[in-house]
Amino acid sequence: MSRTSPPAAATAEIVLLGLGGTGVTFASRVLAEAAMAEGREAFTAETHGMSQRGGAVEAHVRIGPWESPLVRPGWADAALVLEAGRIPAARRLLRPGGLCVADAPAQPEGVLGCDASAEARALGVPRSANLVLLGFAARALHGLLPRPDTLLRAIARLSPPESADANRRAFLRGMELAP
Amino acid sequence: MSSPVLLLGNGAIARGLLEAGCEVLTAYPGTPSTEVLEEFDRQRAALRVPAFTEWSVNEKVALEVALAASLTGKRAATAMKQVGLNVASDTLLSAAYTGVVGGLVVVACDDPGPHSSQTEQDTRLFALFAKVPVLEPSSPREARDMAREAFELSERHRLPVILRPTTRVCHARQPVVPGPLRQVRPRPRFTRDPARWAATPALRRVLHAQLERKLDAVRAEFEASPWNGDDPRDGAMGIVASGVAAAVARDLLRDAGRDVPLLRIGTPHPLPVGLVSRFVARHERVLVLEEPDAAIELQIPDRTRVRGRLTGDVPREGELTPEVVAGILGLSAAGGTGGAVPVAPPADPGPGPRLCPGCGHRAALFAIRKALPSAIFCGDIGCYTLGVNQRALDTCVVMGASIGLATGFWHAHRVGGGGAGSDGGREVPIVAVIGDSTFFHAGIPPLLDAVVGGARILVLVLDNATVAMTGGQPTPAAAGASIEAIVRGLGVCFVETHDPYAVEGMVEAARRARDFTKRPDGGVAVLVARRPCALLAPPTEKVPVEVDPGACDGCDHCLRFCECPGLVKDEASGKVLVDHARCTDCGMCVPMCPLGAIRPRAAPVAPVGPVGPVGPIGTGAP
Repeated sequence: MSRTSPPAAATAEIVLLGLGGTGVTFASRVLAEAAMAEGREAFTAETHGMSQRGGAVEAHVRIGPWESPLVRPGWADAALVLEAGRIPAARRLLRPGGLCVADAPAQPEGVLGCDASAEARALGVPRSANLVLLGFAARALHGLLPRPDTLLRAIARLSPPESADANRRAFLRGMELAP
Repeated sequence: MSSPVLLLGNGAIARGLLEAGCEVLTAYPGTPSTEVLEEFDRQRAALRVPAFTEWSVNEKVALEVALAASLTGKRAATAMKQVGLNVASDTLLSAAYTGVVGGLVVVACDDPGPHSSQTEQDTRLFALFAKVPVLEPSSPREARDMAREAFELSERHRLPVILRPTTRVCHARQPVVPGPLRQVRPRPRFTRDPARWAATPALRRVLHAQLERKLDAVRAEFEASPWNGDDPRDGAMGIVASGVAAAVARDLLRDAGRDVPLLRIGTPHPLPVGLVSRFVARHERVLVLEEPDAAIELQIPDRTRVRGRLTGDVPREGELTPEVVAGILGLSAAGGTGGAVPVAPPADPGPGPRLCPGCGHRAALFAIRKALPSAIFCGDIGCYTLGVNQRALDTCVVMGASIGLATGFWHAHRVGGGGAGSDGGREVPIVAVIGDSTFFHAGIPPLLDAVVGGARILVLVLDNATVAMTGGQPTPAAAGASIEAIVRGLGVCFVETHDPYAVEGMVEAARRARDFTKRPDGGVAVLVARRPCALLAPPTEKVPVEVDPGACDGCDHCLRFCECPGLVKDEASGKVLVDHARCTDCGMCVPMCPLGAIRPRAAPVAPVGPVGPVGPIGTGAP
């Protein structure tokens, strides 16, 4: 938290991938709310409906003056992958040089792995693995994502009261884990 | 000025309805429309705005409740998914003739893709048929504006108005600056006018003539509507686009540094043909980008220079994603750098959805299939459509069609000769599988038809006490409606209710029900499998299980017919393991193993595996 982030990029296209229930939608809302709090435009696309029954879900977050919500495959600046099996799908969305962080115990090639699920379990907040990864990404992808302090405030605003503390701790733990 | 709020598209629509002073909102849940009513309720509670809202039994009833409110002078709206409008269509077509008093807005959400629907039908084409004006937003922000203005349009012309967003508007989030709330709350006053509100066919002809004149007036208004963004330039190529496709095209062209004249249409019906024809005349070739079908293209009088879905220059099916539109516009696939990047292979769709661990539907479907392995299983719309993964469903058509199809299968087999329900002399049991909300929505008339027509079918009602697929909206049972009492009232003499967790009990009940359908004095049999949705009421009586590796021979019977996310194959040993992070200890899988290898264990196990997708939908991390 003491580190000063560089100036934010003019625009950022971020994709989040996971399975229904892993917290993809919540993390995308946090990113968009935080971007707004920094005075930037945000546009998100979410997956609702049947896919949420454990199926593959995806959220797109476009920070900047876009008119449409979907990130074009091959153009995403960053991917946050909450289920390691979706890393190949994330690669397809990333632009050349785009960055990928993933909830994975290992370090797949070209991916910044963070064992967010294990860390969240160790913290006693297994459902907040998404926020461990978001905290990790906030540091690992600094400059591309909104600042950690605005992300933390968005988490506090969007979390139901009973999980606000778990989510905050998960996010801070993720930041500690970042290189 | 208020500060912007990040709103889901459906939340932005709800905000627009509230700002317009909408006092009655009815809906039936269906993706992508469900959150319109939920957001309306959430926001009006925060604003302390009085209004009546209801989850109606079905979309037709929803429209009728809203229509009556309009006839008293109040502003009213109804929200549904596109196929819901099929159900409400009878009422809509008549209401276009009679007209309205207070503004009446039908929010009908289309699903290009389709992501969560049985068809890619275009509500704008339905509006052509119904002779109703349509506003088509391209973003949540515009959806709020149009939702608000739709009431003004409706009251100016005394017509119902359709607001037609698509999934990428409904389920997008964008900052929206809240506007002021209209404070007018007219006293309800219904003015008798039988020549209009109870018009007979002779008078309907008069109303039809009025309707055509109203549409002419709306079209004239749309010619100069601010919802249509004209581009006065001329050139070799122009684009006419609407909705999300227009927004996608503009983003892509800007990213590519290309400047192509683009006429954006926000009022696709009745199409302002003067405006569009002048635009077409200014270009040698005009591309029409719209979703999901060709409603604008079809209304252009001279299509000599026009290319679109009808000509095949735009794919005739599917969503116009940035990838697809970029391909149509001939933009390179290079990602940001401008360098040569190979075109990405088609997306891996990833794992599909499955019934949740602990879901009672799984056990009921397993039991009915075990009891009647040779039956024709007619499925329906809901979570249990996923029973097709368990090889437990043979058909899925539309809401309520399970019972109608089962009735038809029975009669078809009988008329073919060889006796009731026979197939070349072989008895074929016929089963309809329908959820509780779907039964209330559209299952009652076909069940009456089955009884009256003497169809010897077995109907399995899966009652989880909620509309689970769309996030857990209440069903009429929450207000006391009884499936058993309704079924008996329709003349069904065999009605049994069981907890599907007791799998063997369900199997025996299914056999008894089948026997009843074959008895000389028998008839339709109804089984109700009652167990609350596992997401809303997780099982309390814990039956932790383990797989005996000595008994499991890796036959995968459980993986195929139980299909629980809590059971996984251990690739190393070829045997099945319990994923305790996902397992809810419901114990239903115990009787599903033919070898008895899945058995209760002494004490619960602490989760060790990855956290599974077992949360309430729509919340992600709680």
